[in-house]
Amino acid sequence: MTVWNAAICDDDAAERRRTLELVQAWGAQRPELRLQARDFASSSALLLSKGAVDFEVYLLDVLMPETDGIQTGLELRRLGAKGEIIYLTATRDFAVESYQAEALAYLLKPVEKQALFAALDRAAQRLNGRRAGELLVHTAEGVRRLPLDSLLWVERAGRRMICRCTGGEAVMSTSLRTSFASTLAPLLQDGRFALCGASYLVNLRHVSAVESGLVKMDDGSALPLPRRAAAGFKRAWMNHWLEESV
Amino acid sequence: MTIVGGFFCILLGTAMLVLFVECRLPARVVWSAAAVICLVLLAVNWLVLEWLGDRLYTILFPLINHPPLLLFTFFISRQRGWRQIFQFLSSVLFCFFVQHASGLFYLLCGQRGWALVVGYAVVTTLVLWLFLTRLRPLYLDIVEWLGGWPLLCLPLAIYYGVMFLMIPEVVGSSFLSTVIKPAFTLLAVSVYGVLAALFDLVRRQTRARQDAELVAMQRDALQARLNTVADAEERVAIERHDLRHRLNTLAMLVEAGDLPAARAAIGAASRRLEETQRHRWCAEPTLNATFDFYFALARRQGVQVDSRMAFPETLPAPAAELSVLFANALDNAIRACGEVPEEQRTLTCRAIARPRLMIEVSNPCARPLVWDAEGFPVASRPGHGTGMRSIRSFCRQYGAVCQCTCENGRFCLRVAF
Repeated sequence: MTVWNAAICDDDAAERRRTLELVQAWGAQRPELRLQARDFASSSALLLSKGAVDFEVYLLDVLMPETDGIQTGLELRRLGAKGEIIYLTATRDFAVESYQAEALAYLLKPVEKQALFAALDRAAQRLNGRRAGELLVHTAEGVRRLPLDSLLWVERAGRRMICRCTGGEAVMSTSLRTSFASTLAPLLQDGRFALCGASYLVNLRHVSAVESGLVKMDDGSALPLPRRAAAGFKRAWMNHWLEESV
Repeated sequence: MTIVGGFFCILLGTAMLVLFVECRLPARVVWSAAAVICLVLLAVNWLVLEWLGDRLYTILFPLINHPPLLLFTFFISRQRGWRQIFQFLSSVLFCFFVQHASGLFYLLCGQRGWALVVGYAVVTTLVLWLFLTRLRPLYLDIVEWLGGWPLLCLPLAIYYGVMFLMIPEVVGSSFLSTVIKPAFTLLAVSVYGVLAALFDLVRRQTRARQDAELVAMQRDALQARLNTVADAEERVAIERHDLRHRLNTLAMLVEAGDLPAARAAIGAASRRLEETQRHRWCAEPTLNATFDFYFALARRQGVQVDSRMAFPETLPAPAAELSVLFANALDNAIRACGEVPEEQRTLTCRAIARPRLMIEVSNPCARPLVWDAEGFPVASRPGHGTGMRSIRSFCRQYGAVCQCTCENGRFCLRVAF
């Protein structure tokens, strides 16, 4: 069962309650999800809360005092939040700005149940797509299951491979029985990964830039990129992000 | 001419050809073919030298080596016609320059063996550096814009005739060849310098014209934007006037206690507010003006536009240049939409800001496209293709990657910074 944390932020208590009820009704129709919804009366309450960047979906009102919903969304992205953002508001005036925060949807109030449910379905679909898949790594301590979403890159180290994960963890495998490329062939079929030269398999989702012979990762690391492979890798990165954002 | 000297000339000339020419094939294929040709020519040259002797070999040298290398140029070059002849003759000229400059150094150093080696090494390095850093970029910039290539080939062809037909002897074998050939080479290089200056002038003029076109396009887009703003202001004035009447009507209904009618009037007023809202495509004003212009153009031609754009706070290129990129892409897309029935005319324009700015413009594609070796569509008619060339030039300038695909009747252009 997948845990789903939803954050609802609206300065209007009645609207907040209504949205919370709708989200819980949606969650009740999804037995495969364990939905945990929290509501916040202001942007600052959300941003200052523990685990503010860890919600899977944010339902934000736009017009709020102090910090509006658009700025809240931008701040969440700046802090590294990767959850889906759904804006709920009474006016279309901020639809363009919502794209800056990579909002999934922009719904007009009073929010229709079907429209909200459709947006939440899309959010769930995207999240499931990102979370899908694991890499089994045989280590000296036993078999480790590494979620693909947390994998930054896999590098060849002699006859072994080292899996670098989010949070700074590095998992080293035992000696590989097949070649590096064969071992990681299933990952190559997953659209999130691409080879960077012959020794690195990189998660495109965690690549922040490709320039000057380097692949820059979102944890601050940089991997060498062979000149001949640069254009092809950058295209793979571009295609991944543009297709993911549809 | 010894076999070593002859082979060095073949090697240098082939290398210059490959470096100078804009190849239509992958680099690995071209260099492999060049290596094979050099090996074959070396074998043939050696056989001819062994059978016919030094004197005849010297006379036959161009006949043995130049036709295959010319054919090689035709095979690898993206350009066609007199441009290929120009590329070939330029390589011949610079080979002779290396030979004669090194020979002069050798003579000045008292004909010592080391001087010949050092001379060749230094002059070859300098010429190759000049080729790669100055001549080639300049040539590639103007090759599509400039005409009159037969005339540009004329001085090089005259030089070729003098070097190989009128004075075929090797430098050092006679007074005529030792003095006249290097002097003529120096003259030819000077003429080439004038040609390079001409190319540079053409490049600057073309860029100035493109800048002027850009400014004109921005002016048109801003003018269209101003017209739109003026229209919107007039509509707002009308709506304010109408709103005053609506509010008066609403007040009378409330005073009369007719609440259902008052609610209906409020609902109608709200709907009217939504209808009069001005559409804004993105926050950046220069880009917004461009989108305003082209999306309005698209709508007038019955094209449905699906746009969703986010731009980073700091753009990877000046907004004006980005607007030209979008202008070229949207112009091509709108034209392509004009070739399909109206119900199929949908244009998608997307931009994402994170992790970096990435852009996608897609449109229906009515006919099969012809693709070049780098995966870009080739213009089907003369005079077309300027927009795509401009986009590619922009990507080269700003280190962006560009990709074109056509699948299921839909053409898609993507650019990432």
